[in-house]
Amino acid sequence: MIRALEGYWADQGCVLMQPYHTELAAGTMNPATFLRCLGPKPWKTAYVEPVIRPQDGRYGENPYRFQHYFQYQVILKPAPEDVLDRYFESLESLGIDLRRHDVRLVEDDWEQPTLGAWGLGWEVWCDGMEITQWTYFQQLGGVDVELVPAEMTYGLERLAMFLQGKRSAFELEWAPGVTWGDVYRESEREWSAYNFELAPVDALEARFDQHEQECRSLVERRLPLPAYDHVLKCSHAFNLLDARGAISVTERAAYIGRVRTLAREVAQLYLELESEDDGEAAA
Amino acid sequence: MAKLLLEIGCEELPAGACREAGEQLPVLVERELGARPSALFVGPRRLAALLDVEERTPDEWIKGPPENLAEKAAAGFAKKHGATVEELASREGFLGLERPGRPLRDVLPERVDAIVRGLSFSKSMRWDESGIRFSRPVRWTLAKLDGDSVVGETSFGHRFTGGPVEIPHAGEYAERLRGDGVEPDAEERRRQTVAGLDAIGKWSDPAGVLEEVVFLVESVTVLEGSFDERFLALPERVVVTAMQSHQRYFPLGGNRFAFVANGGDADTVRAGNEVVLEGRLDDATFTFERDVQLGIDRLAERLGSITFFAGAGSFADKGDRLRALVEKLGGGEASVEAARLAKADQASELVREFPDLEGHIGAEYARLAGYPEAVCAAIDEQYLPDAAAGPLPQTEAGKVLAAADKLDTLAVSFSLGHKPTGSRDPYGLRRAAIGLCRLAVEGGLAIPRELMPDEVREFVEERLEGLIDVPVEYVRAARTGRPRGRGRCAGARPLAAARGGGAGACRDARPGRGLGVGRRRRARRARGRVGARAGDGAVLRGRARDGRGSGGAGEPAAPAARRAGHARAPGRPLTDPALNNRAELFEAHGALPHPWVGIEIPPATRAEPIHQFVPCVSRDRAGSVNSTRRSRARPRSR
Repeated sequence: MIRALEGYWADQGCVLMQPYHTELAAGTMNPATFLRCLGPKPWKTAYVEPVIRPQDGRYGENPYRFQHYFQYQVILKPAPEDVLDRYFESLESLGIDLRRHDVRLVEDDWEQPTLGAWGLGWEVWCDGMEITQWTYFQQLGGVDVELVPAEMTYGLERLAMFLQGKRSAFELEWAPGVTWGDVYRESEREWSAYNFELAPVDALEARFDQHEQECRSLVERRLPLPAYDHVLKCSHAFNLLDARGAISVTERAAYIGRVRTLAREVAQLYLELESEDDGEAAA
Repeated sequence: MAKLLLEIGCEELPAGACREAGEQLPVLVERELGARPSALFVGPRRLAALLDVEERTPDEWIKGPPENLAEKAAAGFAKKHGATVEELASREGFLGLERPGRPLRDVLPERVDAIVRGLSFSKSMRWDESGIRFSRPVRWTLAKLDGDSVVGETSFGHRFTGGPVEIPHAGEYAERLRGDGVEPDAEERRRQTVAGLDAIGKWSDPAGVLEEVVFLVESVTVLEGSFDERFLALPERVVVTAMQSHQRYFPLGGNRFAFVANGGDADTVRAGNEVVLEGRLDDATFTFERDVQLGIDRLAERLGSITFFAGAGSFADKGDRLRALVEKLGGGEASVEAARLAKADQASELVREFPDLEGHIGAEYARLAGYPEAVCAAIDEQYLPDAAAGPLPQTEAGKVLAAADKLDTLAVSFSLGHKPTGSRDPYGLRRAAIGLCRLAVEGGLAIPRELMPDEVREFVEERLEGLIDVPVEYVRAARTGRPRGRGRCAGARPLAAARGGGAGACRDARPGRGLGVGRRRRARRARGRVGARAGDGAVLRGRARDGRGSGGAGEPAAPAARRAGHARAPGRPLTDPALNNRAELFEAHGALPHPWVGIEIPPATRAEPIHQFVPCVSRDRAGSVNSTRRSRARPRSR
């Protein structure tokens, strides 16, 4: 399935990226999406992203909830006029017969407050199952996008369940003779224990502060890419604290605000540097 | 005359956007093309209008400066309109330009563009460099004048089964699309949906998803599905919410449901939808069983670790405060017990999945734990009324608990400085205050004023001004002080009491005569004037209210104030010197004090029931222009 998607989107001219090296709560947070979607340069990419959402763990007991799962992320910037047709074609490349199934686009507007990002789009339903989140970005890091990118995020487990007719992700055949559960169930159990019970609150709070500081100083030194990694680390520390139940409603808003401020600073710096580079290239 | 078809083809529009476009399109079409549409087609992938038009636009006379100013102004006027002075003509003493009408086909492209750009949506987006903002990208436009394509070439059929659709003549639009499996008319889709549902069985739609479903499909296929009976062990509302809010299905009772598909092979689509619903129910069962295994009492014990509101302690603290409040409100044993368990479901996993069912889930857990029905019902009703016109709790314990919950939320929010400002009311405090007033006014619950901190009391009483049917000035008069020598509206008096007909009776009896917005606005204006007069309570405004006890035997002679009110010029404050003194004001209205405001209500209106309550404030403006909020309750995160 992943191979089919890679093949299809590579043929569409996408740069095939690899998963990012720090914890992300969504493929959107990968700099290949978040930063590359800023500014005036066209960009097409596709990649698998393992997403880490400490809150969603269920100790491997619930067949639908995991703290770690996979997204397949596609960005077309700018969105071509036939972008939806291309997306539907990707489903056909997976063997979904669009005439036999009921495929629908159901309103779903997206926002990611920690990144100061929002867009309008849909959930794509196939016979009632949500298989993709589809978004036209409008703002990232509080900055209006120049070329409107289309983002397609396939939920790989969901899609696989649909294709294989399985009712539990654990039963998915991940490789011949090997189920998803064989590979990930134990990890779900252990990580859930860590996320909900053991993650050290004080240390996480301190880490959040450190990453925030480091991000700031990297912004001062005009290094947006490393600075952005620290935004991601702040975000992950926040998610862990949230899973530990260590954050109240108002504190929550404050934490989100802090991460958003960092994301905005990094986005602005990234744009500044990019336009300077262009200036030099032109000269 | 010619027949004109105009079609705007889009990527899938949300239902709300379809409704907005459906309202604006006729107006825009008339503005740009000079005629109202004779037919309107609104759906997720196309907005279209049919109209009869003249083939030429009308001649225009552009009026310019008067002839006697020709020397000074003619050149400028001509230049502005791209003409020369020689081209100017004269009519009735004014210079001007005669613009002959143009063939419609020449102006149609720009008019179509103006219509597309003229549509505005509460949430809109950009998608390319055209700069157009629309709810979702516009992918084609088609304008046909009789048989000629003026803009675009073809329409397009069903997304997956159709392709380009030739429309030979504007008048054949709907017919041609139907031939391709698309029903462009929303009314017809609604009719087909309802007919399809009726044919399957007795369906229900408590969440009102029909209106959305009509705009989710272009081709209506109503299908029936079922789920495993073991899921009937779940609370029914959990099942219904999973069906309706998550999947837009229509419950048929038992383990059956109906849904509308946009096409596909019926068996395949049905099987797929059944798997999805069972998956959701499986997920719900999993959390439900974990919660039930713990039981409501253990859940309640966990509340200490869940923050209610930063600065206001945990949900356990909230529970303690509720218990104290319930006792002060005179609640019995059931309400005290209900207060203890009221927030227990906040510790449950199921409420995290179904936040709209808070309270109800707690009640179900209490039932499973064997608590008396009065306790369970009160837990169930604690958030009522949850909408301005929503139902009130039916049980006594429920009313008491609901009032306590609102009192606490208001007090806590105000003490932490979270007061609603303008249209911002993120904590729903206006709704809570109105709910509190309605519990008093309609529910007959006595709510001692001293249970509210001053600020909260002010806020609640402001809502009450709008709610009870007495002139706002009387209420204000009573609020700002006590009638001299009477002590009838002493601070300790309940907000409203269930006695002697109760304040509830003082509402206008006719349906639809609730608090309209206009009336509310008038009240606000009047209040502004009162403020200027330092609240002496004698600034009155007239209100003609024919329904109010007219001819009732018990009504005192129409008070001077009201008579004067009829006569006053609109917009001018009215002062009646005879009533300058508040004590006299009350005197003029007879001896009986209103249970709360301290003034009398004409007996003739006392026994009249309340028919309807119309919301006057507190509509959260969620999803305002380009707000980053999403349309449904919780933003999806990723």
